[in-house]
Amino acid sequence: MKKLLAVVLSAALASSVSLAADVKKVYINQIVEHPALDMTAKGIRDGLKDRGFVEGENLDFVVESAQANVALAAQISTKFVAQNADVTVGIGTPSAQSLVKAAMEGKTKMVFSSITDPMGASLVKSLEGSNTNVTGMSNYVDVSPQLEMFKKVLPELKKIGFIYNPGDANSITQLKDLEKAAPNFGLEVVTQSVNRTADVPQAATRLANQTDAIFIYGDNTALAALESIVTAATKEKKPVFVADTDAVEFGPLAALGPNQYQLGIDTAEMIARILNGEDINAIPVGFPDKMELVINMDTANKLGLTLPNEVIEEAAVFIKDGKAEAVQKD
Amino acid sequence: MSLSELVMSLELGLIYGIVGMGIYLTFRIIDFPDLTCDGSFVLGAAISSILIKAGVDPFLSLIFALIGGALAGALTGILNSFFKVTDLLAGILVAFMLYSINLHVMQGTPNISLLMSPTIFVTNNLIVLGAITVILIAAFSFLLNTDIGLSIRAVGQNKRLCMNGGVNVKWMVILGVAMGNALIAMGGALFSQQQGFTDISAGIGTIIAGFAAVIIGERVLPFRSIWIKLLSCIVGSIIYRIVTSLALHAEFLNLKSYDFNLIAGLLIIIIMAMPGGRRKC
Repeated sequence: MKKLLAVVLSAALASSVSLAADVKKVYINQIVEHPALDMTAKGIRDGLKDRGFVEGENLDFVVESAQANVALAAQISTKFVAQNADVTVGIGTPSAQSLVKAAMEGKTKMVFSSITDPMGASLVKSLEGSNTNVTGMSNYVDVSPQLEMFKKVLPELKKIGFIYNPGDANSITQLKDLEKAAPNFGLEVVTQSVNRTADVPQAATRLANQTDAIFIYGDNTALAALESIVTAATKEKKPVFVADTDAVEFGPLAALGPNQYQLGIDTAEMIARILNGEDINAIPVGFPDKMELVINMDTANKLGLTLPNEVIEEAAVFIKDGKAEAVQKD
Repeated sequence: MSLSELVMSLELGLIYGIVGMGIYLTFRIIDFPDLTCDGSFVLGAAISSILIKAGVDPFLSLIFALIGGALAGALTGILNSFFKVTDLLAGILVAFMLYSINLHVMQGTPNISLLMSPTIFVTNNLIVLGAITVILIAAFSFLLNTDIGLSIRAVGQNKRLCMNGGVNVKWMVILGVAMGNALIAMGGALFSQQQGFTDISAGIGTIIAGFAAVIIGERVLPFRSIWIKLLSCIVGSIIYRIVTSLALHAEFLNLKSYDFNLIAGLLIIIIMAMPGGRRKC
């Protein structure tokens, strides 16, 4: 027993010694487990590694999920601040908001990731350096290029169906954008709100009947029930468009959007700059700089669609026979 | 666990202790398993934050949150008393409808930030929360000792006897559920002001936190007088928050971040299973 205690104690001591060397603490508070958000967290981990911050050597990297419980998110935030994190990361609006207070009081530095409207959520006062120890990556992308792509794929597109959860802050921002931009492309938006994934099949069936195509932006509820939307739309020979490129392999026709993993890499770059001593208040909020076109050829065949060459040429990734193939461009 | 985590546990403990008092009122006093709370908690938060945004005094906004919660609870009570909806289902139905109503109250935006707005919390949150808790315990133990309050308590003990004794059981149930949800909405309003934001999803987990407060409280303070019963909800809630804070430090057991619900649940079971059973009343 004594021996065991000695081993445990010396192990604890050894680990605290290695921690005493210049180990940076990057602690992530994620509101809920979700494929796109998990992808972002993975991107942050890999991005930090590429920039010389390796777990177990000079990086203490922790991801905690609040499991959709807002009070728990607050407790996780308090814990991170008390542990003197070098950088805290908030993924999901409530998680980021619970970290912001501590950052404003100067207790920690906070980098948010994958938030559509950081100004609306009061995370920052301005997009150009906020003086509140907060910056981060937004996942906001302009909707116009996406609508342009839809029109290229389906020139006779008139009515577009939009499924969203009115309880998702990001979706409300996206809907407003869509309704503003749609008339410029001669499009009419037909909305259908859902409160939970179980409402999705009905909503999708209704929209598939009334519209020429269905569009899902970044809505978590709709994306969670993506398969049922694709099934309902395919029955009516209508395509589904998404903005989340990772989702295309599950059946939608195409997506022109930021890559969530890349968003994590970009966030990691910001974190690395801060860890290397750069002033967080001088770093402006970042937006995804490039959009990637992903096309699902299997779905195109199923719908009997022939895609115009100019769309094919723009694609970065094709899904063929259930497998993703990246296009080599020189 | 550090001092700041302890302070946060105390603050959240006091806030959810008020929620616990509300759940104690429905669940124990009138024997009504009420699931309205996930909705009424957010209703209180929504009312308070939208009023603050409109320039209303933060303290005054708490009163409106209290009234809003009471109306939601009264609706559950009315569905049960007059429309013959079973107690469990009535609560679930009202909470279900409140999701839409809350979004309306919040004017269509699912997340309202109060970070740049005035709140009742200026320097020391604990003193403010402590004072509010003392006032609420005093007020509700007074209310429950008035003639009407005693009728409400009697209804929970024996409905049939009360009916024979000329007590209007239906209205007493409605009043009891309304009082309970008024407290829960108050908790929601305080939560949004303390956290600096209201999110439509903030109600998730309210019922567990409230039940934990009631049940742990009964274990540590097993006395019969009503004000100690209310106080025990606060004490139970604080213990629950300290336990959950400790559970967040269980990573040395090689647990994943998504194991938290499991750890917290097991800790509550351990507290409940500890020797020294609840005194019968």
